[in-house]
Amino acid sequence: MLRAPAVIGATKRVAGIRGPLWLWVVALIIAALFAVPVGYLVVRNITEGSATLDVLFSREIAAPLVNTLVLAVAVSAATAAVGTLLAWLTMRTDLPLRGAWRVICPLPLVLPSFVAGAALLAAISPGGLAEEVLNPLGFGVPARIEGFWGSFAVLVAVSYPYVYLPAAARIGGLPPSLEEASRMLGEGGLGTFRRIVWPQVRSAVQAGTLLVFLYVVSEFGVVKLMGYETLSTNVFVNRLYNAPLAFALGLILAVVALAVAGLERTSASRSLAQLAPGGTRGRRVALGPWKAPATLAAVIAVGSGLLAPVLVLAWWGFRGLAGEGSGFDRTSVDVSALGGPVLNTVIAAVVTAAVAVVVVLPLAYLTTRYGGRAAGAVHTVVAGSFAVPGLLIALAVVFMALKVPGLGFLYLSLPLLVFAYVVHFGVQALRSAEVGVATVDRRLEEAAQMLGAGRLRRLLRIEAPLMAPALAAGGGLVLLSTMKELPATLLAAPVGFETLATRIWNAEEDGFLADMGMASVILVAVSAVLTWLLVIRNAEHLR
Amino acid sequence: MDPRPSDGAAGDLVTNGLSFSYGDVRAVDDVSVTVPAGTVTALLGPSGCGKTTLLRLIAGLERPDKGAIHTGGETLSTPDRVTPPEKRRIGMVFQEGALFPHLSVAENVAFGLPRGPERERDVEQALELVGLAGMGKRSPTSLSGGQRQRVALARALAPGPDVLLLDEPFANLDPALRVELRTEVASLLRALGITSVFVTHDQEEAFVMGAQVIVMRDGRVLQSAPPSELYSRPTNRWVASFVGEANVVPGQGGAEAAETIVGSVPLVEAGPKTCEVLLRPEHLALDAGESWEVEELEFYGHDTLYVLKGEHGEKLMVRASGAPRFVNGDRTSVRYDGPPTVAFEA
Repeated sequence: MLRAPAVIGATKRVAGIRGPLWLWVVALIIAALFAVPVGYLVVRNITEGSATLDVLFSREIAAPLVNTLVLAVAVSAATAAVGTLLAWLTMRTDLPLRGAWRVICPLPLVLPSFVAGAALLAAISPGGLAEEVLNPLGFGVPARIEGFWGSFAVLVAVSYPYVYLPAAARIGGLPPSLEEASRMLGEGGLGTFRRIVWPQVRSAVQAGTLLVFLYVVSEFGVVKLMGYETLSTNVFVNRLYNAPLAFALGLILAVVALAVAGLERTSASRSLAQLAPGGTRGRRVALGPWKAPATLAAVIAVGSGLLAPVLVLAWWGFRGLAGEGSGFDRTSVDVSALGGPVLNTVIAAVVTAAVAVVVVLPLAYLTTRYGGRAAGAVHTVVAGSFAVPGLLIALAVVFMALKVPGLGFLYLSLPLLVFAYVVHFGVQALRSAEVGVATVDRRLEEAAQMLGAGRLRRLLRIEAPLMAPALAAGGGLVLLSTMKELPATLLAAPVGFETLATRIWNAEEDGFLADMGMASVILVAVSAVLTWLLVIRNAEHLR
Repeated sequence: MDPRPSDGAAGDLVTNGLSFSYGDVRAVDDVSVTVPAGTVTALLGPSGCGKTTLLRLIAGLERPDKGAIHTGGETLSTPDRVTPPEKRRIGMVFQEGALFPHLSVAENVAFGLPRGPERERDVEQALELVGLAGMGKRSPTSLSGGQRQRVALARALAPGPDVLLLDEPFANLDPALRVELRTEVASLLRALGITSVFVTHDQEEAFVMGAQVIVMRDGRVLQSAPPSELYSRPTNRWVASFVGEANVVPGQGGAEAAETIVGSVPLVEAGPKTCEVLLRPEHLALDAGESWEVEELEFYGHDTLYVLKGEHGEKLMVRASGAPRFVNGDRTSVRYDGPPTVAFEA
């Protein structure tokens, strides 16, 4: 075993644990706080005792559980196919404008799934864009898209980038000479994909697919809109008048989510060591007569995942601005009324991001500088909280504030909401912070120390500036996720504290489509800027 | 000139007026070469001269803008029709080997072989050929650079291709290994009698590997000849310097000799009145004298390289066998002591 690196300035040590004691104390307190919501979920189920057991083996559980799994499997399979196909088309064929497609294909990431779902429903609602376009052509508008197929379509359209991004990065990392060597040895285009490309890309596709599975299991907005009963919608519906059932369903949901997350970790996307540099130069597969269908497929994927929803929402929103009525109570938009939700969204997201970055920093020091099994466990707790649906975390903290004596003052307060957000999204800040800490060379600190700088001065003058870009990126990711989070906000936000996400949701439920369109356009625009800066611009496959 | 271009009927590999551009850059410009059947041809040139592109055109990995490629009476490539690489029966060894990292050594070699009872035996034979018998179960990542290139060679040879292409296969190896491997591969290819094209930027490698050497620069073929002819009778000044150390000095040509700064030098054919004469350093001899000063000398063990400075500042390289006979600052005279040489248009 390697000797622990000398810890300068830290004198107290505990046998078997590397790193200063105070850091461990702080880190364990933080990790414990991250574990609180799931812990409460478990405790509630135990204290309910027989009630939980009755529910666990009842038919009330079976139907939503099966629905959840069926949807998750179907969406995962479809996104695996769509994501892999698009990755191969953009990285390895003569698809026209493939450079642009590489940028465009991940873009549906900017659209929160419930916004895409709401857009689909808005498009086919009376007076909507579909009617406007289809009726003159002599087509009728489908009365309602709902249930399994509605949820399936929307979720595939917005979540395929989770497969596309890792698959495209992996394909781009393969040396083109491998495929050329296969062709020279007598294998055709399809056979080369099957025997050379796929075996090396499979693990990346699997990792992305598991992420989609997790995403669908946790999904709330879309399935609720489409009236498809899953574990999460049942938790939401039952939370007020049948809490034991809601908690039992929640526990199952959490177990499914954590199991999938665990699976994702153990099957962590392994990349084979390549013997040559990767690249996208070299021979492209000529699509020939398939060029047009392939281009159409890319257009449909990106069109349905991004373009169409944004168009529909913008259409409603701007029609509302013009104040055109068409039989609805409120098809006009009072833009000034959106000021409140925008401000609330910004406040909640910025505070959450700042708190998350500060809170995970000690954990990042621990996992990066000192490592070991205990530090790994701390990381797992934080990462696990991301896998648990936001709905459940909010449910747990709200009920805790309500039921646990002395916590009542937190009930439906902003700090409680921020706490739920930080627990749910903290790992995004943690991963970035770990990168940041790793970039600070210990020798720089030692040099500063030899020049007489104390701990605080070193932190401010050496470490903080070097870590700043990584910390900002982590904070930005938390900001983005928080803005888009619907169920946790619905459950835990203070009364009257409307964010853009809840505004969109409520407006949809009330049929105020113009209002919904405008709020969505704003949310998507902000989300697009952040996603571009933080995710897409840095995507591996663009290098 | 033969108005009807050869179609390579005898099994030769022939390119006729082949051109190819990457965007605005003309990588291969009107290249017509013949690779005689059963021999190794080296394609020599500095990086970016188009030699790898020419190889990729022959492989069918690129489509020519103009011209055609034939072999064995069959047309492989024209701008309209390119036989896909998998249908050409051409094997290729890539610069970095391009071994499939997810397959074992044996699976790599077996990749191009048809399924059947003989497959395993063929793989073992191919591995034996390159000196890796019994290594089939290893993973490519566990092999050294030299072993990887041996596997790549075995994999390309296993299906019994009509033509073998090698794209700087030793470029990433350390120098000692490179020398050892090239000698081995050269004798293997000669023993197999397979039509081969070997791309390299290293003159020594080209001379060792090739029965014929094609020199390329800026997408064009400058000269195509056996190594000894290329060295003694380069067609221009650039080729002369690229394939070896060269002094090129001004001279006055005559029917059989040229007058130069080192006296009369015999020519292989009549030179122009005002010309530049190629003097290989090893064809110059030093005597005690006055006209040249030893400016630098480098002792290599088997020989010594002198750099001389003339009265008007001109420089001359002289290579003499054995230990140095002069020291820096000594004055000497130089005379030509070699076979007839060539003169270029000044």
